[in-house]
Order: sequence, then C-alpha cells, then structure tokens
Amino acid sequence: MKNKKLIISDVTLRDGNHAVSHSLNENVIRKYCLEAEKNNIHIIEVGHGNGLGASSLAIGRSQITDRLALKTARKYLKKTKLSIHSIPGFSRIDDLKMAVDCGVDIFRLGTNATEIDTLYSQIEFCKKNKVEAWGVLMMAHLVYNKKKDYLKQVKFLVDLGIKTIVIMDSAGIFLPGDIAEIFSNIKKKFNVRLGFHGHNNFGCAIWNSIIAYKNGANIIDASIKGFGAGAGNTQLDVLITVLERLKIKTNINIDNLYKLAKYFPTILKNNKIQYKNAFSEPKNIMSANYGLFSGFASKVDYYSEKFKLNDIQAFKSIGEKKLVAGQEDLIFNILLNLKNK
Amino acid sequence: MVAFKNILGNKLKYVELVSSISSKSAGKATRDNIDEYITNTEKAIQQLAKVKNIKVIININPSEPPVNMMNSLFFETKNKVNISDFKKLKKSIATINKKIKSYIPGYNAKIFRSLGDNVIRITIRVVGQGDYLPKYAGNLDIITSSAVHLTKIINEK
Repeated sequence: MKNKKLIISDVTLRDGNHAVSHSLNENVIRKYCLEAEKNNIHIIEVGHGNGLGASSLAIGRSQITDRLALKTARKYLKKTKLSIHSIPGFSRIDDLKMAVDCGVDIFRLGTNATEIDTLYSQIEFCKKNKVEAWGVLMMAHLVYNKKKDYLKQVKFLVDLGIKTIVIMDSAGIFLPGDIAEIFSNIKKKFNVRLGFHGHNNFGCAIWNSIIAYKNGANIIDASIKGFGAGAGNTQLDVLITVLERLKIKTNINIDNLYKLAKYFPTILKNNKIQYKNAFSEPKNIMSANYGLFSGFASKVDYYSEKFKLNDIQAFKSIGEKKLVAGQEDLIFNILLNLKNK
Repeated sequence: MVAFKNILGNKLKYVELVSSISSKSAGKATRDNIDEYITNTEKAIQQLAKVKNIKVIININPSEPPVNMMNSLFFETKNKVNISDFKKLKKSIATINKKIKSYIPGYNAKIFRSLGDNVIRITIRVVGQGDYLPKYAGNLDIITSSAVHLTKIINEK
C-alpha cells in the first residue's frame, strides 16, 4: 500500500506544557510559531497540556488564557495550521466557540478511549459550525484487547462523520507490534485518515510512529526534542532524521530543524521557564507499565516532594488505583494516605 | 457551599469542583449532556457561594472494579485562611456530614488545607446504599436518596 503525504503535527506548545506546569507564555508561542512556520511544519497544537479549558487548580493553571495563547499563535501562523486539543468535561461548548472566534483550523476532540461517546455534542457543534473536527482516542491502550474494542470506538466516530482519527498512546505503553495490529485492523475496516501520537516511556515513540505510518497513518504527532508529558513525546528532530534515512519524504529541512532544536532551550531559558525533567526517569517507566497518563508526572513529583515520599513508591500506589487522565485531584489524596501509613 | 460563603465572605475568590464517576454509572443522558451539567453546576455554585469565578470538571473513569463517586472541591481565598476560620469550616463540615449521613449513610466529606496556604480542599466520597443501584453509583444514589428525603419532609409538613 502506498501512503499519501505524511503530515507532521507539532504538539510542542500543547503537550510540552505538561513538562513545565503549563507555564508557556505568549512570547514562547510567538517565537516557536515563527520557527515552525519557517520549518514547514504542517500543524501546530497550542494550549494547556490537557487542552482547552483545562486550566485549573486540580490539573495546574496556565500562565496565559486559552484565548491569548490561540490569538498569539494565529497571528504568526500563515501556512502552518493551528489546532487545539479539547476534552469534554474540561472544555465546554463555549470554549469551542471562543476557539472558532480565534481562527483555530483543526479541532482535535479527544477523551479516554473507553468514553468516546462523550464526544458527541462537541462533534455536533463542529459540524454545525463547519470547522474541521478530528477524533482522538486518548489512553488508547484501554481499548486494545482481544475483543478489539478500539474498532467499536472508531466506528462510533466514523458513523458521526469524523474523517480523521488520532490514536494516542497517552501512557507510552505501546510496543511496535501493538501499533502494527491496531493501525492495520482499523485500515482494513474503515476508510478513515489516521494519526499517531506517541510517548517515549518505553523508548518506542519513534519506532511506533514509523510503524504507524507503514500501517496506514498519515499524521504523526511529535515535539521538538521530545518536549512533553512524562518521558516526553516522539522527538521531532529524531523522527525527521529517521524518516529521511528510510527515504520517507517530508518537506521539513533537517538542518533548520536542528537549529530549532538547539535554540529551543534558550527560548525557554529567556522566558524563565524551568524544564526539570531533562531525563526520562525510572518513575516514567513505572508509570507506563501501570498504563498511567503521562501527564501525571509533574503532580506526582510535586506531592512526593511535599510529603517526602519516594517517587517510585508514589507512582506504584497511583498505578494500583488505576487513575485515568483528569483525576489529578486524587493524586493528593492517595499520596496523603501513603504518607500517613 | 453556603457555609463557606458565610464564614469566608468576600475573602473567597474562586471555587473549583472536580467530579469522578465510574464509567458504568454514566448513562447516555449523562454523556450527551456534559456541557449542560458543567454550565448548570457552575451557575449553582456561583449562586450558593456568591463567587463569580468557578470551574467545574467531570471525569468518567473506566476502571474495573468501578470506582466510587468522588468529588474534590477547592476553595481559593484572597489571603491565607486563619485558624479560627478553618476551625469554623471544619465544624460546619462535620455538622453537614452528620445531617446528610442521616439519609445518605455512605456520604463522607473531609476537609484539608492544601496547595499552598490560600486553598482549602474538601473531598466528598459517596458510596451508594446498594439497594437497587450498585454501591459505586453514589452519584445516582445521592439524587434518589435526596428526593426520598425531600418527599418525607414535605409529607411531614
């Protein structure tokens, strides 16, 4: 099977926000958007780590409002499309209206893959307003099983008229064999454009992305230097290099991209944004092994330090409770109990 | 909510509610009406707490066995809440706990100071009675139990 053009969707300014407690400001957005535009990046996603409307005490507050973030990005993006991540339960229809006003091109509507039907009203909103809506299966490993539950979720979206679906490995738990199976099975049954969003907890983000492409994905999410939640995302600069080695074409210039990768820490530093997790840590491996949401890392760090707990022990106790993305509020309770044990 | 308004008054500047319910207890109506739930709950908190700035979040958790219904409430104040006010809040939570437990035995609210000094956190867990609906569906049980309780009050009058 011959793949169509590969689209690179850069999530640095959204998933990267997890890595710095949602402190990316308009200055970073402006600088990064200008660079991405120069580098022919196809799509840029901007926002709080958990997407539209997620700025909160429980998850973490954004440095700037969603509106300011989107308006800033819109101003500096010309060819590059602007996307947002939206999870019903955090975001409301009013937030989507605001995003439409700000000129967002792509609405990536996502939720934990077991609860895809909660996307219904946001999908209907996008259809009514004639804006491009994608469906995102977050924590896709929750529906990867013998019964192939992911096919049911994909069908739900396809039946609602969704034409692009992103499989998100939010926990960083998938191995290349899993990806080959999921993508080829979806492609066999549905005429739908697919994307893959990887996390690097098991060191598989790059290869998972390539395997996804080889099995029919046309969109790959990545971030500069892997800047993102937990162990980080698919590393854009590595991805483009490996794609070139495999003779898979993108129109991204590798030399310019390396310049951006070298310059990126300076952008953060000049904006006094601290990036604590430069290395992937054992706790990130443990987190994936429990199938936990990568974005939990910063909250677990915060309370482990506050309650003087061993971080690996902390992840273990959260893993045993099977929390899903969005339940950051309960990390406090679980770790407080652990401390009082 | 009203107790917080009475005790903290205009020191209160922001209220946040995060609800977690089990996937099995969330039916089609709940799923299709997440937006209405958020908007109406925000309005209700605004009225009860007399605070403009509100955030409501809802999570549906697919874990097996299903998780019990749980809410986290965050009350952010302009300044640090002093010890005497915190004691009053604690007392008021204990009173409410007792009152609600009389008709919803599985209701349990706990109060904490957390996230720096300007935030009070309340955790509410509702374990259902398990008569008809399963115990984890506290979110549904609390509605039924409240309705039964209200009917009793009206009949007694």
